[in-house]
Amino acid sequence: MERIERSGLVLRGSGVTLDVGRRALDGREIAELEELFRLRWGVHFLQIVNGSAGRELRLRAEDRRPDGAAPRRVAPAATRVAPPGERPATVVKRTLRSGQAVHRQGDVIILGDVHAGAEVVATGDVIVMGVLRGVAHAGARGDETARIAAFRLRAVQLRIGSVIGRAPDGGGELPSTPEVALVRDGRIVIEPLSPEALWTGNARDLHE
Amino acid sequence: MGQVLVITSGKGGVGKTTTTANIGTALAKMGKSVVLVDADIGLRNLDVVMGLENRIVYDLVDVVEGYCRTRQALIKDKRFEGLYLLPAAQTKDKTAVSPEQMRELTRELAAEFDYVLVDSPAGIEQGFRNAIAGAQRALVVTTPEVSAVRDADRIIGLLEAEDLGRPQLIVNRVRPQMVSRGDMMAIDEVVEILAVDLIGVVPDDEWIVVSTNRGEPAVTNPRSRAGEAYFEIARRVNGEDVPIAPLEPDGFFGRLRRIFGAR
Repeated sequence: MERIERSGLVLRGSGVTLDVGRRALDGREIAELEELFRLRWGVHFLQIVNGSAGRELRLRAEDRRPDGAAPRRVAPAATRVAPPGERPATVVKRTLRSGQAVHRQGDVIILGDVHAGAEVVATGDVIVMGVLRGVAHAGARGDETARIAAFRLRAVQLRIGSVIGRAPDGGGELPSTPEVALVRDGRIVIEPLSPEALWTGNARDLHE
Repeated sequence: MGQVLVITSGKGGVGKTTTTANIGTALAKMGKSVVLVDADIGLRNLDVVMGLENRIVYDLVDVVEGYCRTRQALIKDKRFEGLYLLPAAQTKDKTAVSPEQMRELTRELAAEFDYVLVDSPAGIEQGFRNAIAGAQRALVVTTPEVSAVRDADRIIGLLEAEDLGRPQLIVNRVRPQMVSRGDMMAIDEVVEILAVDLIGVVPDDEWIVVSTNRGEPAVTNPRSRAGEAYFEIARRVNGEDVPIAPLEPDGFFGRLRRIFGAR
């Protein structure tokens, strides 16, 4: 949670699906999570699923909105349709190991590491709150304004839209600071992570 | 039309992938066109051993599912002309491919390459069935340990049942000193138990660890004894008559010879 805060992410107005792996949450825990996401980040609805199968656990946050607004049905996990003007985001709260894959519409936020041999594919941005060593593909439907950010960017290959970049053979010293990968002049470039680097040219997300 | 060879063992960890990488690289060094096929879907390694992991875009499953053309999935080696890798998928499992699809795929590759080397997964289940589906020839890798030899025997039986008759044996990770002390099974003993043709003996070699981690097959390193042995196996695979010399414990003169690069 602190890591979301520190990263300066803009989640406001987005719909969030929280993947809690195999953990079973009780009502109080769910309520706390819901409140946290709503108050801190202005997230409209919270859906909790178990594992990548996307099975809905329970709770439709909108059904219990305190302001008395009409309950809005949350799309089932399988389809993940965002309300108009919003882009869905998936929060994956675990480390992805070799062979595990997350493919989602919208943005994907990994609260953990992405190991070599694991795969994260998103139509929007990919944000890894940990070490990214596996393959990340942002803007998988061809959106070259998408970004890949990670606390430690150690991937051997990055894909944004239809652009592919690979790490040089042999490697070398890598910075121990958060970085973001983006497409500039048809090539993938990597910059130190800053709000500007993350959102420049991506303003539609903020104003739509 | 090229040849399709499967490299298999039954037991895990005896050196199938290392063997595939080294024989393939050696054949390419000899001027042959070679494609290495990683059939270990879900536990791919060959790309790492070849140092080509960062180039993977499409994989074997993408090819058989028609996601891409075979050409697009082939990764060109960074050292040798004529050497290619078809990587396994990592996020799928063995059931993603059928023996019929593998037969089709290897036939297509054999039309273009002199050698198609298929790196089989450990085990005798579907992954193994897929790996041997299109093969005309099999190389069985074992180490001089009773458990590995037992598994190799099982595999040879299965290969014979599939009409991949007369598989050839590679005894890997041999330590001549231990053999001469009587602490390790001798090559003759292994061959006698398995009753198949021996195509090569590979000494245990620390360089293999280094080369695997660096993604540079040992045959590219003139100081590697194992690399030397793999190069000779590749020549035998290619039909050359290279006698199998008994392994000598690595004495002073042996080391001296290698330092001066004598083969």
